[in-house]
Amino acid sequence: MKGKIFTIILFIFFSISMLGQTNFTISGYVQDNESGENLIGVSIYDRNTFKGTATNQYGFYSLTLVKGKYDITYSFVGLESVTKNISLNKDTRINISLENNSILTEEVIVKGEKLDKNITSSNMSQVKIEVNNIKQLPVILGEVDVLKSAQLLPGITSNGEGSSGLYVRGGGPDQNLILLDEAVVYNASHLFGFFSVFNADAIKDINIIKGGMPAEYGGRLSSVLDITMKDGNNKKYEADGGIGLLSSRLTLQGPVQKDKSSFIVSGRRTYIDVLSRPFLNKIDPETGEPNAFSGSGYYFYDLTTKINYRVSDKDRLYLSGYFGRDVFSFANSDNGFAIAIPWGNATGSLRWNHLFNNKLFMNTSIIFSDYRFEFNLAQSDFEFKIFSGINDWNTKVDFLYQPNQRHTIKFGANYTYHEFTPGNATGKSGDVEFAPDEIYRQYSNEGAIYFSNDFELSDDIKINAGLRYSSFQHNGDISFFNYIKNDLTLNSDNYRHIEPRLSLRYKLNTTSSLKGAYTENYQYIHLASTSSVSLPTDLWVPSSTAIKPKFARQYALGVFKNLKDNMYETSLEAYYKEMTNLIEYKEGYLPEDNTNSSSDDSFTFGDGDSYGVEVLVKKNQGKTTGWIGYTLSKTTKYFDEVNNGLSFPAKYDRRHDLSITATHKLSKSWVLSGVFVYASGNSITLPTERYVIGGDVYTQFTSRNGYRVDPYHRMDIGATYTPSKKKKKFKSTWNFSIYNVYSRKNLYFIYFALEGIDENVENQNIQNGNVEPKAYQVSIFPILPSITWNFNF
Amino acid sequence: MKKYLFIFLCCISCEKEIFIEFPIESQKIVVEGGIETDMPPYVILSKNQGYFDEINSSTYNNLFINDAEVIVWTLDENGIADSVYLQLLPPPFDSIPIYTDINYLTSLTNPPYANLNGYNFSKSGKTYNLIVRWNNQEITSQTTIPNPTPLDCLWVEKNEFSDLDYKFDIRAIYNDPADEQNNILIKYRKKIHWDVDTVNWILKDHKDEFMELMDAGTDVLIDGQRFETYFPHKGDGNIPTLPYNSSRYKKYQDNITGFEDSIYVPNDVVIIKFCQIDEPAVKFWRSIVRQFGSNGNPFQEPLNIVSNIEGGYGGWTGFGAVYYKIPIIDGYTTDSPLPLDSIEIIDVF
Repeated sequence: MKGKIFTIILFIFFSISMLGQTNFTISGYVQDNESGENLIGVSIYDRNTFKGTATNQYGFYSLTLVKGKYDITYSFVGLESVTKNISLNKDTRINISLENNSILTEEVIVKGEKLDKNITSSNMSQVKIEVNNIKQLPVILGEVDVLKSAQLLPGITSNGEGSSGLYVRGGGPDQNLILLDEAVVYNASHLFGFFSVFNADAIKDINIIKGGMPAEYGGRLSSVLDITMKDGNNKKYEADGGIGLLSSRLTLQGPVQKDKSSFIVSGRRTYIDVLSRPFLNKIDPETGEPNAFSGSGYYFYDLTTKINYRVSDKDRLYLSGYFGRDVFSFANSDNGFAIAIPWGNATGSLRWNHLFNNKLFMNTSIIFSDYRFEFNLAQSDFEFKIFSGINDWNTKVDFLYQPNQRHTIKFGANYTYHEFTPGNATGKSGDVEFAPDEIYRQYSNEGAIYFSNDFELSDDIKINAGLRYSSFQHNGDISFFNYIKNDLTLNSDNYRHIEPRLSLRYKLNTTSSLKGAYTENYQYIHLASTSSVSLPTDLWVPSSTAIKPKFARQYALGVFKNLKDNMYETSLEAYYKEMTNLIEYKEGYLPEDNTNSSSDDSFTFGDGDSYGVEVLVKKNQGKTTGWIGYTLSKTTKYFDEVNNGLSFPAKYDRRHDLSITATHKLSKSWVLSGVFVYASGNSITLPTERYVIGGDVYTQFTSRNGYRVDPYHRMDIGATYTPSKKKKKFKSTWNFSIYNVYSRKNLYFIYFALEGIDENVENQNIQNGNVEPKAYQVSIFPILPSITWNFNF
Repeated sequence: MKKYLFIFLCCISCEKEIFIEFPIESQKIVVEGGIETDMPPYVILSKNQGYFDEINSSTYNNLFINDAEVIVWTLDENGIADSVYLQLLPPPFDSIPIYTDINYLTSLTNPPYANLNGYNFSKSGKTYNLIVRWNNQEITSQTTIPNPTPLDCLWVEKNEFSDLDYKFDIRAIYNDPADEQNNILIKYRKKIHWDVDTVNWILKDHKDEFMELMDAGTDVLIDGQRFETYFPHKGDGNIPTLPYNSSRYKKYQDNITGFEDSIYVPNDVVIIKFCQIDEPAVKFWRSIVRQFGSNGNPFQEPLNIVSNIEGGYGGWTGFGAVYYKIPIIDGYTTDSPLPLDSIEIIDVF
């Protein structure tokens, strides 16, 4: 507690230490001259002193300097830098448009920010991914995937072959706060986890925070994936699209009112179902027999849209939305059996940016987020439906205050109303319907206020100190409205916590720095899974009397060094994270035990810890760019009621994780790329014993995650060809990829079979056959070439 | 050809055999036992074995334990312990070793059917304790026999999805007791199931030797409702979805003489055992159903069988059972459970 009070005193001290000097502020927005898009992370700095700042998520910047003359430079990847000579003797508003730089496109610079920001910033364990760069990397089945690209960074792992789930520094997939234009996305994958729900064509910026989480973020233990959608071209109409093996996509954008308002609509749909339809005709064309599986299929689609309106020089409005669905259906007319499983996310954000003055910027948002899953089964005249979901209404206000060049102060508040629908079921038999009197729902209120100050104590020392005060109130099955209306004394679960956040940078010289970070995070909602992989059936449950909030404390230390005038960026980070109140289903839990009721009694709770070292070597400039990332880590869990109380490795525990990514600009038309990944095998649980009941064989599993499978490794290569059609309005590119070049048979899953029973021998079974249990490793995705055609006009 | 190309694209995955060694942690006793109103208790005992151990007729038979001490006890109305020592069934019921009260079996007046007066030891509403001693191990368990809840009626009706006119369903109306958290277990046995040997064109009775598990579950969704349901049997996939056979003539042609004729195939006769069971027992039976359904599913978090046996594996269940005998004849209807003296003892086990 003393430490927390000390931090508050430091805030106050730092905040008043710069008073009394004659300061003036330069502020404004920076946008792309061609599209009118606000640019995030543009570096704005004085060329002589290198004092500076960067544009925020809305393209706004504010730089307060002592009265004097300055050469202020605005620089951003792929765009021509602009330098303004300014005689600063009053507050000044400068909006800048940066133009495309044809020289820079010859030699690639992959960073969209000040080139030594990794040295000078107080933040650590944060990475910005450039969408244009990941579009040049080799992809699987032609699908550019934001989450799979993030997995190539040190400290972030996948769950295995094909998975787009993120596991950050020993945290599970529910410990990542995934935001799309500030709206929480609860299930970020399509096709049972193979692809992410984010359409790269509609994305402007991706920021990943895996440690040292700033105070404005909370509600999750491990990481933040903050994705900002494009605003839409406010200069001219534009269409982008692509045709791939798996899906096609189309993006339309343009001005509603030139330079004042614009829109963007982006859609994507797979066509597995369309391609397979001829083979699943009602009548098989080859045999003339009825096709028992007619009506089976799978598809996903997503639609992203955004509209913005510049109300005045000080006010801007943004309305954005996402809607995506996966639909899996299976039918077998032989026994009248049919399944339909739809699931997906819907989000909506309405945001208002307001500039009070040159130093104070505000964003206010109203956000809606919804995730739902359904399982429908019909057989004969029986129908059964199970459904679950989570629905959020969220409002937040964030302030950015930059009183002088040494301080960047952020403060704000956030309130979310959660509505959980745990596993509910309804059924029908003939004319009789089985349905609970009302759908079982649970309601919770989550709130937070925060304050942080990114403060330069001296030229060498920079501190980002923050406090987040979070609260969670769970009303069980009583909605907030009824709670207020009927009885404020109704029993509910209340949790309130202070979460200190601290990052510190010590600059050793102009090219190197030491950094440290300490964070405490609470997480009030939890994802419960009965599966060994992340599936849409996984259930979000709130903290309650039985389910305590998760807690994590993370310590991180790092050394950062840039070489050859920032051409090479290197870092070495070490972290230790301890987690408490982690949640698992009890051993032997059956989902139907808690149908139409709370799941609270189904869980068991435990702790975990993770520690590791991450190395990153990155080349930012030149014809060849890319990075090498390596992580050495260990993640362990401790549950009294799991694995007989003995510690066990997390299933995503990886001792070694190496990724090498490279892009080479061969000519004006050709860009080559390659990826190599090596990771220790996952830890899995295997059967150890079997026994017979009623003539059938049953299995006993022991030692949770006690078997480590073979290491995972693969190499992908790709090439992007851009035909040189000078000054033609219609542009196109071809992307060629080969996934898993040497066709490594990486494990997808292991299954077991009792071999030796001859199906041709009548009544042969385990009693009279000579049965040999065998284990088989199944691999998907051998060498997979793909081609995608992208266009723009 | 297109079809095969599509199948190829869908099946790009490949597999290889891997070798894993896991020694067995400890030798444990596996119990499959039950007790129901008016019937003697029974227990089948076996041992666990290593997952990758080979199974053949010899190793399978060696799994069963036939030298254990098995005791079932309860408290009578006066709170005094009353117990029964179970012994192995003699031939011809010794294809697997079943422990039961053989004194009751020798008292049967019309074997293999139960006695009309029942078995005094086993009554619904009472709790029964099991003790098994074997190889310096003692395992225990406890179960309660709930009150049975009969079905309102059962009838035989044409299966609407089958093109074959002799495929019929057993349908029933069940009236679930309201406000009672009861749990249901359903078993069945094709007591008669004639099929044609198409090589020699003779009839063979492919009846089930023992009762088969159809399903088990709680009444959370159906509590207090009266509704129609149906009772299918297992097919190749071992998931109960299939209808039964009524009588029919099956045409055939002799391959040598070319002589055309038909053979009369009698209808199936099915025994339905409809039971109420207690909470620990339904957890055991649900996990049996679930592991059976998910066996081999690599995405399923491993699910051990939920046992109510202290120190061992398996389950000890009190059944509040009613039995029905259903001949698969179009329009056959009954609302009468079988009387005690029409229940075959083998259907109890």
